Amino acid sequence: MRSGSLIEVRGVNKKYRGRKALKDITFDVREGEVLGIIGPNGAGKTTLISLLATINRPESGSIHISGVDILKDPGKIRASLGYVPQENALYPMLTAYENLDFWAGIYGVDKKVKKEKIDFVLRLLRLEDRKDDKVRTFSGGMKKRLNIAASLLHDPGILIMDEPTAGVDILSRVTIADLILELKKSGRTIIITSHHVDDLEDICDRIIVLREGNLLYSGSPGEIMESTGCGDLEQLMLRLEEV
Amino acid sequence: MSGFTAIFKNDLKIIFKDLKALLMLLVLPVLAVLLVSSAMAPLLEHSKFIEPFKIVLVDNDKSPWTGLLASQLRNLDIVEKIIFADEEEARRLIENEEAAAAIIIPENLAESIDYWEPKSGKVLGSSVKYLESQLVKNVGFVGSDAVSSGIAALSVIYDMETEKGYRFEEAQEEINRAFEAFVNLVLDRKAVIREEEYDKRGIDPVVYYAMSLMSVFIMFSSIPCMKLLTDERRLGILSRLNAAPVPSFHTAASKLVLSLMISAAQFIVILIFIRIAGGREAVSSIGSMIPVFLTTSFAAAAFSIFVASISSTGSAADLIANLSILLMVVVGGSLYPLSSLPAICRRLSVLTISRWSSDGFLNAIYGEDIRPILTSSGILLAMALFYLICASLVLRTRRRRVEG
Repeated sequence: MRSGSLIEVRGVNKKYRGRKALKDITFDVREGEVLGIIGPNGAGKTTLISLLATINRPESGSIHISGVDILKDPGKIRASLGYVPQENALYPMLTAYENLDFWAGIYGVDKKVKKEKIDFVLRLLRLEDRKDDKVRTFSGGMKKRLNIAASLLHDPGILIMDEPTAGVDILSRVTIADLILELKKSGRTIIITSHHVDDLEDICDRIIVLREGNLLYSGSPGEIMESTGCGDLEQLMLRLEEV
Repeated sequence: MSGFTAIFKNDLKIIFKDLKALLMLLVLPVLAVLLVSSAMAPLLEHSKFIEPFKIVLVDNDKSPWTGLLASQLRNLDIVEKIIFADEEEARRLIENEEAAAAIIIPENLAESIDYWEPKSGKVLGSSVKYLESQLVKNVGFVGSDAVSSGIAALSVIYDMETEKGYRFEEAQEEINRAFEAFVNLVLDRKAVIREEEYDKRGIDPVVYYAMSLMSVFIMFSSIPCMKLLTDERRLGILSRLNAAPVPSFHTAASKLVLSLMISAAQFIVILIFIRIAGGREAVSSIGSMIPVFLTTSFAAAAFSIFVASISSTGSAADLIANLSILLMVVVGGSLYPLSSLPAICRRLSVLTISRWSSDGFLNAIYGEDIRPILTSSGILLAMALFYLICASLVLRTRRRRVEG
C-alpha cells in the first residue's frame, strides 16, 4: 500500500449485463481526502461505488481499505464504512426516528448512546422537528438528508455517497454540501459521486473522471481543468456527454 | 446477533403497524372453515359428490315390466323423483334443467323381448348436468345388459329343448315359464354387490376442512412478510444492508421467524375453534400435528421468499402469491378431496405444498401410523429448501446487477 493511502484500488474490472462497466481502474484515496467521481450516465460511477461499499465484487483486480483486502474479508471493513445509496433506503411507513433507530441497531450502536446519536444526526441534517413524522410525508430533499443521517450514526471513518444531491431542493443541497465540508473538517474520508459537478469543485480534494468504464483523468479540480483545457467541471461534463 | 435482533424488531414493528390485516389473518380462517365445512359437509358425510336428482321416464310400452323398471329406478339413492312424461315433455324438462336425463322406453318393448328381438330404448342426456346424465346412461346400460344376458340364457335353453325333440308349443310354454321365473327372480333380486362404507372414522366436516385448509391459511400468513421483503428490495434497503456488517441471510431469516410466529398464532386460533366446535379428539393429536405444522410453515415462508425474490414490486408479489395459493388449493385437494379430482390434478398435486400439508394434518388426526406424517413432513422440508436455494440464487444474481 502506498504511504498515506487509505483506499487502494488496483486494476479493477467489472462486467455489467455482458458489457465491461469498469476497465482496469486504478486509483488511491488518502486518509481525510474527499474524492469526487464524475462522468456521464453509464460511465461506471455507481458500479465503482458498489465495489467500494462491498456490495459487489469485481471480476479481477484488488481493493484494499485500511490494509484489509475487502474482496477476501468484506465483513471486517463494513462497520467502518458509511454508505449512502442513490435511492432513499428508508421505510416510508416508519418515522424518521424509527428509521434511524433501525440503522443504529444494524450498525450495533451502543444502546446507551443510541438516542443521543440519533438526536445528533437529526440536528446535523436539520430534521429534529420532523423526527416523529412518517417518512412518507417528507419532501424529496428531506428524505435525502435522512438517508445521509442514517449513514452517520456509527461514526464511520469512510463515507461513500452515491448521488447525495440528486433531485433535491436548493435548501437540502446547501445543507448537504455544508455537511460534507463539516465532515471533511472532522477528518473523514469521503467518496462522492454527483451530477452537480459545481458542488464538487468546492468540496473535493481530488476528482476522477470516468467514461464508458475507463478512468480518463485523475487529480485536483484545478489540475483536471488544466489538463483538459475546460474552464470548469460543468464544461468538462458537457464535453464528455457530447463525445 | 445484534443485526438480526434489529431486523426482527423492525419487521415486527412494521407488521404490527397494520393491526387490521393481522386480525383478518386470525379471524378469516375460522370463518372460512365454518363456511367451507357447512357447504361441503354432504360431500363428506354421504361419500358422494352429486345431490339426488330428477329423471324422466317416457314409458311408451306401459307393460307391467316397465312399471317394475320404474320401481327399481326409484330405489336408487341418486334418484330424487321419477317424472312420467312423453318425449316432447321430457326434452322440455331437460332443457329447463328440471330433470337431469330421460329414459325412453320404446313401444312394445316387453313383447319384442318375448319374440327375442328386443327394441332399443334410449337415454336423453343433458350437457349441463353431464355427470348425472352419465350416471343415468350407465344405469340404463347395466339394465339393458342384464336383460340381454337373460334373453341369451333363455335362447340357449330353447335351442337345447328343440334339439332334444320338444315340440315348438311345448318349448315355447317352457320358455315362457322360465322367463316368468327369471323376471320374478330379478325382481326378488339377491344383491350380488352390496355397498359397504369405506371410511368409518366418522369424519367431522369442521375438523376435516380445518386440517385440509390449514396449509392455505399458513401460506396466506406468510404474505405480509413476503410483501415486506419485496418492498425492502424496491426501496434499496436490501442493497444498503449488503453494505452493513450484517450477514445477508439475516433479513430472510427474520421474515421466516416472523412468518412462523403468525402461522403459530393462526394454528392456535384454529385449534381453539376446533375444540369449541366439538373436535376434542382432534386437538388431542396436537403432538402428531407439530412436525407437519412446522414444516408447512417453513415451506410456505420459503415459498413466499422465493416469490418476493422474483417479483419486482409488492403488488406483483401479492398477485403471484395469491394466484399460486389458489392454484395449490384447487390442485392440491384442499377443497375437493384428491380422489374426486382428474388424474392430471392428482399427478400435479405432488408439486404443491397444500397436498403434502393436508395429507400430513389429516394423517395426524385420522391415521394410526407415524410414517405418512413423517413422509409429508420430509417432502415439505425438501420443498422449503428447494425454494430457499432458488430464492438465494435469484437474489445473488440481482445483487450483481447494479446500474453503471
